[in-house]
Amino acid sequence: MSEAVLPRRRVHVTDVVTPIWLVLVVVIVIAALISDRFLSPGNVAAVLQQGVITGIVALGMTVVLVGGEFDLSTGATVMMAAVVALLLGPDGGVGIAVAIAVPLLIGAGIGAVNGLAVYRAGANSIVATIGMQFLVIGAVLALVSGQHVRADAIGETFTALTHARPLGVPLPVFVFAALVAALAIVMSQTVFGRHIYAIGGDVEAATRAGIPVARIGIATYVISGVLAATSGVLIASLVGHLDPTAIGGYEFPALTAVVLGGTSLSGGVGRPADTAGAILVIAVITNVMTILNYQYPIQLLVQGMVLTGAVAFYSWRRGGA
Amino acid sequence: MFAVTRLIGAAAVASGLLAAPIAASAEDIVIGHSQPNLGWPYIAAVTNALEAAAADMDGVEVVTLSADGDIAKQSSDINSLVNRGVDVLLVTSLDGNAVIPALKKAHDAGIPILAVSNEPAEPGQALLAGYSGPDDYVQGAIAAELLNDSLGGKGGIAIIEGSPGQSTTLLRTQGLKDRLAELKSGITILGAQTADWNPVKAKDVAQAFLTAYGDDMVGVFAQDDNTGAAAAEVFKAAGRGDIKVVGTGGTIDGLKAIRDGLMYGTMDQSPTTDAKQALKFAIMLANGESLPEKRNIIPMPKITAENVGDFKGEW
Repeated sequence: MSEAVLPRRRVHVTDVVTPIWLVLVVVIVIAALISDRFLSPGNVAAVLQQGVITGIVALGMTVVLVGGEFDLSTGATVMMAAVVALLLGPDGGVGIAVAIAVPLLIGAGIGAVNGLAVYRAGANSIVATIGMQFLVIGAVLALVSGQHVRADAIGETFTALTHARPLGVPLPVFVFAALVAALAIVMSQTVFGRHIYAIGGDVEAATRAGIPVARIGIATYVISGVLAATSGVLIASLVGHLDPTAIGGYEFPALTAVVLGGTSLSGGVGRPADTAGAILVIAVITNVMTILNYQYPIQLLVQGMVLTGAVAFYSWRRGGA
Repeated sequence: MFAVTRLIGAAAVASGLLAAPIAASAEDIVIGHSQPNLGWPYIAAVTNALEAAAADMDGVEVVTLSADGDIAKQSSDINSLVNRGVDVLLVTSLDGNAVIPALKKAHDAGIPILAVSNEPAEPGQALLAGYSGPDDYVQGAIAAELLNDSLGGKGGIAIIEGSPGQSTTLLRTQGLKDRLAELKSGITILGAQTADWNPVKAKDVAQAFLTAYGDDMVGVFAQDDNTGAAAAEVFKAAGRGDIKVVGTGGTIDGLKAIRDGLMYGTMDQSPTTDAKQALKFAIMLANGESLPEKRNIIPMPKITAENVGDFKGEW
């Protein structure tokens, strides 16, 4: 918002190296200082892997939030995709393709309905997507009638999606990195991306400028739905069997990362890469506190301090700029 | 207009069903059954087993209401069952404190209450005719015995806990610690971290344990089988398949992990055993008899590779 009214200036280093990356450097240094095991190769890979599931969800929510709206149905979409992928039985060849494609399509459908409700019907996005969350969770639990979910046979290719380690790094980390790069390009280099920022910055001005607000907005929700479903498919590959009720609830950790990365809750400001930076910050903090066996209340306290500190910082900077 | 009338009519029938006296012979026993959420695997399995066992009996009717994870709905469910005049009330608490006012109403109405699977908090205990079900504290103690046996009474272990602050989590950890002390075991607890019952988080925690404790860690207590199996996969992939992982629950996936050589052991928490004992006691209470003990813990046999074939896994 504030950047839109600022006069044009040269690209400055702070446009690329946003505060979250400085925070990341600081937390890595602190983590390495307080635990000599933090920087061991195995642990670095673990830290990278740790953020992927939440990170992919957070990328989609970043796109929606840049457009000025919330998507709180993502946790339920994660659960749906994991359950559907396992129920379809990714046992080999075509089976695996179906077990990946169907959850992603359902995720896209959930996103499209969210988008229609918010951008066509004008529903409040918090309420509409929480409603969608209930609907999806209800449908999933009815589908599995309260039982644990498992696939009778899981093909090696499906398991390898999350267990392969090219160059010693878990494959999902590459998937996440590719998604961050792709979204960074879409958001910063395409007309579609610029329209999302315009809608989030000032929806009335965007409408007057002839931007197809509803179509673009629905597309942001579809992206979010597909990405959340991607996380769910990865969970199915990672664990192979699950209690559906234990894997809901990814929406708030993801939203935390989105906000920590500097995406404005009122829209128009935010970058996928910064959300990824925030995901890494959270992964480093969580990992080092787990290594040092800090108990949950302390972990919650530290995470709370980091988040409130970040929100205060961003508000101050936007207000004072 | 027609639609509206029909709707009102349907509502009247529905509420009439709930309020009307039970249309059955005087000998019939009606068991009110309040469950926290039929969407939870163990709860669903117990409910199915209970209703199936009751269906095989003459003159026993079970009315199950699910609170769908909503504390307020469990209270209103119990009130409905009291108003309906059930002969005995089976309650699996969603929240051990929030359920107490509703239990008080049932108690004041003279309906015997049997807590099943999950107990109300201390102030509610006096309202109960008794408790029937598994015991989280005993499960922790059984896990301690399994780890003590498999590790020869020495070495470091770590705990993968359920959700922080839940009584299930606290009691399982305490049971493990107390039993290790009673056994004068040389096992030390290196650390304990929450995985929120989520196997994805359990893998992260297992990785962090490997980083933090390395070769000092020779055993892990996971507070359910799903997180235990997930952690065991991480250890195996890291070349540490020697770490003895003990789970909790005896689920289908837990038994599979034992058969596959991933987990060392678990203990059987059978929904059928749980349901049948609860049904037996419910009928005794409805007939005015008293229970053998105030707290009746179901048998929870240890499961390892040696006897895993004897268990089928029910949930």
